[in-house]
Amino acid sequence: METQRIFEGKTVDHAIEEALKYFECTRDELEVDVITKGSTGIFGIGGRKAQIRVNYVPKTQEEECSKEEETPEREAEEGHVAQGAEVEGPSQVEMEEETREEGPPREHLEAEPFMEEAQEILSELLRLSNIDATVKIEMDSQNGPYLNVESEDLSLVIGKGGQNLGAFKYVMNLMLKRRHEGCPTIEVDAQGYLEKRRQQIEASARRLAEKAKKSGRSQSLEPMNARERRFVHLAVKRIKGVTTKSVGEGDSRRVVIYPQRRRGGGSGGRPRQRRLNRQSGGRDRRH
Amino acid sequence: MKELIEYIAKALVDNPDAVEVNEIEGEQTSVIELKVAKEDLGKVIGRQGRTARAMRTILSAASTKLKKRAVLEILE
Repeated sequence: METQRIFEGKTVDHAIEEALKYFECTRDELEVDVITKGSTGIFGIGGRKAQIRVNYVPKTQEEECSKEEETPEREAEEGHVAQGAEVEGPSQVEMEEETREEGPPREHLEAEPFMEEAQEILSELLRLSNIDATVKIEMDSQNGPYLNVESEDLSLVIGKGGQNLGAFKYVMNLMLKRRHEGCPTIEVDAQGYLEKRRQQIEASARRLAEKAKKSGRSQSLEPMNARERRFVHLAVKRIKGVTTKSVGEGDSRRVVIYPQRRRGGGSGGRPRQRRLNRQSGGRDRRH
Repeated sequence: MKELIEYIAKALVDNPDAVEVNEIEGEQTSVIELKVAKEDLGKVIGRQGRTARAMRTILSAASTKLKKRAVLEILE
């Protein structure tokens, strides 16, 4: 990825926003030079966009590594935030969470002492939700201990697109973290659902990547959580001629697969932005 | 379902004694009203309403078995 780039926006702030999204980083990793300040014009006609030149200075490797340990999961971060802690730009966590290749195995010894309590909380949540289920502590050779929910009502445990399972996991972890500060986020599976889901996601990511390449149009996946978006990024990374990017905020955040432009510059296809530029005065290309 | 919300809310707030949950039962729909201390409101709502949303998701899973619908109202 190149580190210097020019961004535009209605105002300088908007342009910076664009830059943050583009590099998926925090404000302090950007050096910003203002080229022109924007002016609104009359009723938005004849206004000029603000232009800035941005130099992206990523934090050093060590810093990122230590940060990863602090926030091994996005949920962990949000769990703290929900309790009123300070927020760093979510995009930074996002970037580490999603695009990091399988690094060194995560520290899972830490989770061990909390497993029984997690099991208890989750069992109680399920019982109070009128769902007959058994929660077992199981061990994954790569990712360490996790909770496995077994139930006759599996579809109710999992919910549409895994949303029930996600909610149970989130609330259970939130409660656990309230009791034990710094406790790692504990994974919750339901009879192999997570693996099945991962395979589904990767298959549809690959299919849409091919579609993007053939059609030359960007393809959007359905909204997913950070973990699932990461599967998409990693699956598409191996395919040439396309790039991925997460767009949207919160619940509607999803991955878009862009076909790469021939002239290599940047992360390729952003047809929408280009069109907008042209409409609003198209400084560069017109006449 | 009242018990469920009570269990979750009490575990998340600083003032569990101030947690109040009422269930208003209708024929098909139940309304669960959750009241917490003012300074705990953020804890049951969460960033971008994430905690509230998770509670609602769990609540609707809980009501499926009862063949009912349940609505969570967080009172200020």
